[in-house]
Amino acid sequence: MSLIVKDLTKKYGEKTVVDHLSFAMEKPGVYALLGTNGAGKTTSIRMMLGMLARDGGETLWNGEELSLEKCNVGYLAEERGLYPKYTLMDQLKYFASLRGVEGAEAAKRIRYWSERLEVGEYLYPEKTTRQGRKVPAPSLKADQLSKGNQQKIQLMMALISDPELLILDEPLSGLDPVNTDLFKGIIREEISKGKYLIMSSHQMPTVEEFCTDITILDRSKTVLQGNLNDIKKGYGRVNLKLKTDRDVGETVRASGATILTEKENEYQIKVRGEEQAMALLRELTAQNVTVVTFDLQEPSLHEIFVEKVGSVDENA
Amino acid sequence: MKMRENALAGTGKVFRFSLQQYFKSAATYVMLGIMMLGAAGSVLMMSLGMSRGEEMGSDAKTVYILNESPYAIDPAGMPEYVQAALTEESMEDALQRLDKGETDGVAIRIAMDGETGMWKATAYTGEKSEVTQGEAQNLAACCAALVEEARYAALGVSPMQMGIALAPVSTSVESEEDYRAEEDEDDQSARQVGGSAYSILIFMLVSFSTSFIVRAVVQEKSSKLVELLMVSVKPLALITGKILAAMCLVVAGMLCSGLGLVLARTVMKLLGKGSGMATAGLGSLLQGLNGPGVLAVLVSVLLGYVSYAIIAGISGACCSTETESDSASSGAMLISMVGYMAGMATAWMKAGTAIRVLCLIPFVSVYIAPSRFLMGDIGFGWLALGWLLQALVALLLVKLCAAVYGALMIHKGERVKPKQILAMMKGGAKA
Repeated sequence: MSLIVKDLTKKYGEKTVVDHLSFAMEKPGVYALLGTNGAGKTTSIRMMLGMLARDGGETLWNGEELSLEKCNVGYLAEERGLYPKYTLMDQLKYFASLRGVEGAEAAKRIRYWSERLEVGEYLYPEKTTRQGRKVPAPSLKADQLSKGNQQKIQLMMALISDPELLILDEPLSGLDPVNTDLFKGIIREEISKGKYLIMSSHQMPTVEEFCTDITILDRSKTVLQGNLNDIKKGYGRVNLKLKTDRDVGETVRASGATILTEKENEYQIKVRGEEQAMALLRELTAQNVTVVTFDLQEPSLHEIFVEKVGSVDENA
Repeated sequence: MKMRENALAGTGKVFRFSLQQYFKSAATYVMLGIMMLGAAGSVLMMSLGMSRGEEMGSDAKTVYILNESPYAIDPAGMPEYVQAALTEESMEDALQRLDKGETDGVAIRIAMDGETGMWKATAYTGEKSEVTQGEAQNLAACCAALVEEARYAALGVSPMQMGIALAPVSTSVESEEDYRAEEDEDDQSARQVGGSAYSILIFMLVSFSTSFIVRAVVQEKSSKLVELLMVSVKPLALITGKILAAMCLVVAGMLCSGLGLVLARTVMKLLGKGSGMATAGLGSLLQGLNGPGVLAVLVSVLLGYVSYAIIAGISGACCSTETESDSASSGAMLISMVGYMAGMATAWMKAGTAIRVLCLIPFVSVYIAPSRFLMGDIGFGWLALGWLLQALVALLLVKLCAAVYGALMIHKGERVKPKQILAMMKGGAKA
């Protein structure tokens, strides 16, 4: 199986909002679509899924135009919601049936995911009778749930059909640390099952954690694309984390490196490359400085992103 | 804009879910109950009002009959709205009683007329009587008729013979113009009642359903579930399922109204009153319904409903918040109002070119063509031509909906204007 996005273009009047976006997933894995707000990530996803008309390009799944009939797609949209006044069970069954999962199979999957996502108490609540017996009660309505729990129900809807292509638009936004770990665990499971995942996120550590390939969009254009490790290697190991037993600021500056942060003899330093870092280490050793930490790393995705698009939109 | 073959896949599931949710809501049952009780209540009130009107047609309440003839008359033969009784008292006593305050009483004396030698019924009222002379005269005439019946009965004439013998034969002089006007009046009255009742029913159907559809679409859009739905089902299937569910709900509402009418008729029968003008008006319309008539109504209503419903769906999808839903209904309602007004304004008109033209105009034809076909004002050809034009409009709307509904549903921000819809349609064509 393969997913190929080729020259996807969208214009609103004279304004181009997605400009010839192309990328490919030849094997299962996680692909990240990154970009500031308004860069065209969600529009690209909508075009890929056929929700939005495109002005050019195509999306191929196994060599054929991606269609909902030929590809089992799961989608967690950035803009999330549920029918506020309908019961959660009704909504889940409805979505399952729309995806061709009905009857006992739907019930089984709903039960599985409710346990996995820890929302069983909302889907299978119990009430106490006058005789003190506990009997099943109707499942709760969406407006009785917290935002985080609603998000879990939406993830259930995306996963209920056991999709082969899963598109997650900002999957972890708005979640507390506990639920973030829960979601991450599920994403890891889906990856291990050999699924194709496309993830759009502003949380760079999350992208680094899961994604093998990335595309960075800036104002509709692709500004960086490729395998994340290769991209990082291309930048070289330029981030030095240094901890010493005394103040070495002058020595570091004298070596030509740039100190980014400095706190109690602990430094984040930007070097031009490994040679400059090693020269600095030699100089420190010559001065009899005790080096507690000397950690030379490739730049983070966050740094690469900031370098490419200027700044990360903190409001995202 | 070639529509995909599977554009309607999943419609059944959307329909079932939407309908299921309608009937899980207590508000739906309240609405259906209101429709049933409203229909029953209005007919009951109209009918009781009419009965009361009949009863109040006379100011006389009590009639004392002083029968000096040898014939045994039955006071039960007097009109139902008065209490009639034979009295043995003298005329003087009866009149004194009326003068003392029985302002709604009448005394009728049946005695021999000395001059003509014939029996005569004379009505007397008190000084302060509120009974009109005309009413008193009528009651006296009723008494005279009872004397006549009693006289025939005394001669051994059977009730059937009596009926034939006493059947009145009236005379009058009329011009040819009067004769034709009278015939037209009956025809016009039936046409007006039938046409108006039908237009009201269609207006109710369109009003309720467009309102339901707009609300359902706006609610779905504001629930932010649209994108998730559109991964599973095509936009056209999404709106079609909703339209069908709303239609079922409105039909259920109409059935409840019908049940209300039946209920009202039953109550009126139990009360021994007439069934009322409203049910009678509806009855006159339904009288013309037969196989082809039912087909004519169903096809016309279906084509009209689909057209109005799609406009409502598109209008709803143009809104981003539930507060905009009221104004979103106004587009479909405005067009519907034109049809309704045309239906009401032409209800009295006879068959002619104007009616035939109106029966061809899309959105208006649903208000006029079926009832005119039932009344024989237009032939099947005109009806079918009207269907064809309405079907073409419905098809164009379906194509428009298929092209823009998805984009409208994911649109955010200000309400979409017609110009933007056209731009979206062009955008849809590129996909």
